Amino acid sequence: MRPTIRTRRPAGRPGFTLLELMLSMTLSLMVFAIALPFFRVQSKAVEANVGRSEASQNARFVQNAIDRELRLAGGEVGQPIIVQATPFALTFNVDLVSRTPGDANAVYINTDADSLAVTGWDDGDAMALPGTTRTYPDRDYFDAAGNLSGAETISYFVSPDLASGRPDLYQLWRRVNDRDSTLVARDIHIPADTGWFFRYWRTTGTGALVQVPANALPILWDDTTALADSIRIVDLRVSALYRDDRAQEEVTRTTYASTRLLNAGLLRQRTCGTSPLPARNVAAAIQLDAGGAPASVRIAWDPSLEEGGGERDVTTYVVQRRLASETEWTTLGNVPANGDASYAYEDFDLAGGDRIYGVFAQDCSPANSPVVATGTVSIP
Amino acid sequence: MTPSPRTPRRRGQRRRGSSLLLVLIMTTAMAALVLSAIYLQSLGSIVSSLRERERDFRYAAEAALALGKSRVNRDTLLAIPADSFATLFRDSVLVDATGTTIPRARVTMHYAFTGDTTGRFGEFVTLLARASDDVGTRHLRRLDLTAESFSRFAMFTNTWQSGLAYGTGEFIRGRSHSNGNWRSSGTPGPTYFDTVSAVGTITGTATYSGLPTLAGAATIPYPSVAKLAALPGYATTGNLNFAPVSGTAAMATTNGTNVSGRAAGNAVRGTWLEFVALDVNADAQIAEDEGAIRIFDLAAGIDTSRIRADLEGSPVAFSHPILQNQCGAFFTIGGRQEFFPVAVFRQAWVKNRIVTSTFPTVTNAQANTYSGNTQADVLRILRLPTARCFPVGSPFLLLTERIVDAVNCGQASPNPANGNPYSWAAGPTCAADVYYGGQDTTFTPDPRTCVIIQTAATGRCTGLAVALGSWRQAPGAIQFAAVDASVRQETERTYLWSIAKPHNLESKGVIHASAGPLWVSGTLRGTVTLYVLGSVVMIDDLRYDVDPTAPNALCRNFLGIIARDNIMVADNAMNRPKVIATPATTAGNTLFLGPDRDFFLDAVTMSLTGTVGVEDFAGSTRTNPASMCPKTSTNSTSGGCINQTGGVIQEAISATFAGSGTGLRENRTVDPCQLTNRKPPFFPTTQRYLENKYFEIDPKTLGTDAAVRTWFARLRG
Repeated sequence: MRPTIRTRRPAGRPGFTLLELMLSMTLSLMVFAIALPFFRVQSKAVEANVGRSEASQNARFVQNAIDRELRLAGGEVGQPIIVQATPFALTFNVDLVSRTPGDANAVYINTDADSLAVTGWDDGDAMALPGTTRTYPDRDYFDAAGNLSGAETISYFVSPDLASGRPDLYQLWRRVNDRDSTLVARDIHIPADTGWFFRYWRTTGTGALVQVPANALPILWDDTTALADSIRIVDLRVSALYRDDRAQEEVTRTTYASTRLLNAGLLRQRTCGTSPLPARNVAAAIQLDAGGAPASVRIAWDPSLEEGGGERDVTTYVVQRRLASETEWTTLGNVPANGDASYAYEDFDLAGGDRIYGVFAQDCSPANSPVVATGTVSIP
Repeated sequence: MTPSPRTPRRRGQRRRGSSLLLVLIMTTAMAALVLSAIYLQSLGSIVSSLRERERDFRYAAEAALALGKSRVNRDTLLAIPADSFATLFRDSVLVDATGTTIPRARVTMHYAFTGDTTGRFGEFVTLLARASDDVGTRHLRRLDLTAESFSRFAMFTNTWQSGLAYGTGEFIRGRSHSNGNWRSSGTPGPTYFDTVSAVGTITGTATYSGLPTLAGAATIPYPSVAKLAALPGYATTGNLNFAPVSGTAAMATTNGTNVSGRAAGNAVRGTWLEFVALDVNADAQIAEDEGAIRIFDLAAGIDTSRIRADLEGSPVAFSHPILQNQCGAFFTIGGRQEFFPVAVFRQAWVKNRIVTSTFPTVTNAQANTYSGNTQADVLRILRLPTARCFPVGSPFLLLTERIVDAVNCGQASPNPANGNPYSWAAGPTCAADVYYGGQDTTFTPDPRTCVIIQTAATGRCTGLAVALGSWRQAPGAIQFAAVDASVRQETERTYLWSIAKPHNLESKGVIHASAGPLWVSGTLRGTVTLYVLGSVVMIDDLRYDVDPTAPNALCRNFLGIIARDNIMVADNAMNRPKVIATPATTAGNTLFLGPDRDFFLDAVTMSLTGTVGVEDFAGSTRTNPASMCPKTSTNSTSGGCINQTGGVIQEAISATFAGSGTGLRENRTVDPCQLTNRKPPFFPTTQRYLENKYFEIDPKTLGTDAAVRTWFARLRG
């Protein structure tokens, strides 16, 4: 009997047959042929979406930035709420930031903020309002307590984006007091036939709300018509642009928003009455260290008569400093009124030249007393 | 050769290949691309939804403020803490207009009284709303409310008597309200410049400003006397609580002549309160602390008609002691105004002095025709454009009320042993350096009177001097420490009651008279409430030191006068025309003898149980030429105008005139300060709350109740 030789089937080869390869390549090419245009379409769509999204974001950012500050315009500012209202520029006063801890009128406290951008604008530094030759402030503005207004003057304005080479593209700028303008956004699209970025609504004598006609603009704070005081709502039209260079198309996203000036027309009474009487016997003296070198300046004072008498509403003493050659005070800090017989504050910053210190009392409005200044302190 | 054995493929073993893998990779890649496209596409909607969420929180916080405001306004039982804070709701859900719960947002509302919680400057409630969710989102909003003050109204009446109506030629330039009806009459009727509301009906023809009228309005509860029970205590704290003099006594005489000012019966004593604004430190500014009052008490036997400068009779007798001693004319001499009463014109030094006047100019011949000796001579004086009368005790009455000794001109009190005294500067020992007329600086603490001889030019009295009364010295604690000599004599300083800090540190701005009537006039500097437990009579203009409607004068001054009883405009020589000679209708025979040809009042006046009206409003004392109200009118003749800048709040409205030539028409203007809802100290409130200020608060703050408590404490005085 012959042994049966079973022939094994040959094992699979480690590779592709030409047919397989050809088939898979053909299939791949077919898939890619189908997918690529889809990818291209998707890619363009994604790109366009991102562009639209960016444009929307840009528009909303602009809107939010302006709304956040504009809606709080007014309050205890001592200045006109609206300084300038034009189709392309808006200037208003708002106490947004304060360097004074506990300042109840400011929204944010930032002790490191630029001291010239957190308080009233000194008329000595007056400059032209955006887009006009009119300068502001025309005088120093004081709050109800007779102190320089604590509100900063903020301008938002658009100007043609010259780098774009197009007349309908603008940049949005923000300016605080006389500080440098900062760029808020680019690619703001304002078609020639639109003609406005800001639009205004005011109340009439009968309480009705009416749109301020374009021919009534610009409105300035010192107009005899007092229209600035009657503005209640600011409309914002932000059209942000995205240019798809490959597709040779532009995407614009336009948002309309209205900001109500929450403090316009409100009573804005001071809640703690008249300004307190000032601190008394304010004096400053250099303190020496063990080696006899100047270590600090000690400012000492006796309490306001209204801490224990009168209206009895002094809550704080605010200590300030200025160079003897200047008029601008810098706030150093505050000391709570605790009913003490006397108060003191140490200034360890001895840089600079001759300086003068000042102290004022503050009540719960908060309203400030006049500043009582020391004599000149010369740091050796 | 043996073939190499091949490892046979086992059954079922599949060949290795990549097609499936490739397809899977391709599919996964495509799916990822599609997903990323979908994701990118949805980014916009994510941003939108985030934005909507932020908006939800913002609106939730603002809705919470609105809920809080509503509760504070409507819930009269809501206890509002003045030394802590309360929580109206905590972590509550809000529903939108369709009743759907706003997702995620939870709102908390805290509230408390803030500011000066005594109520002196108003009542302030602060609402603090927090909208938050479980993942740390937080929005904080603050709304300050202030209680509406009655002083906000230009006209308010608790009841409206039938038969009364506002008529043509009357102007109400501010918010008006009646807890009863409101009536206008005539054509075109009165003119209203602001909203008119009434609990009942509003009828009649009138010109409105365009603002809607509101009939069927809610009742505004009218305050009672009991509600103001704390005011006398506040006045006491500031040493400004006093009792007017009262009582009757036989009429005072000198040498048999009645000098009481009254024609018959017993003389009634009374007290005059005069507001004074003076530049204490002579810095050319009248600061808020430079306001004061003076208080003059009549002596027994001297009648209140002397305070009022009543000129009884038609015509008034030319020898009437008030006409002779309290009426006269100003002359501008050396740049200053000097006042010369009728009784002194006969004296030579007076004639010599008034002929130097620059206004009015007087010739020697004219000066010789001025005297108190005949009606014609008196009439010539009183027809001068600067003629007027003053209340007794006024510093301007130096010449007839500072009676000098016959022997010693400088003696403060004439010595009876030296015989009949003289009028000022007429004494034989008086030197030329005292030859001047009455001025605001010529204050006499204890004025006297006598009958000055008119048949001769000696200026001597027919009898001894009689005390007219005395000015009250101010408590030492509230006297000005010093008054510049160019402003006032040192003699006067102690009679000036300062009404504001720092001279009166504990002043709460309240002056209280424990009884009435109190006679009032003057010039106010400051913010004051005068509260009288009785009636108040306005004997002369009462104005602010600066017109309250002038630029930069907003809320510079604010006066509230609250009387338990009536507040009346006196029918006297200074407020209403009086017949000096007959026939009364002849030009120049019926004269106004006040500082102007009308009555002027800067104040908010409030009568708790009575009215704010005009004495003898139906009495006809028409001038020739006729007086128009307002001056620009061509057809609204009257006895004059009530030119009031302020408001009238009263239990019952009353008539102020009864036809042409009578009483005083109303020409009331709202003080712009009223529109700010500022109020005179402790002036009653309507218990309605108005929005005062709005704030956003840094959301990183006020995370705990302890922080909220500290925050509220900081907002209080």
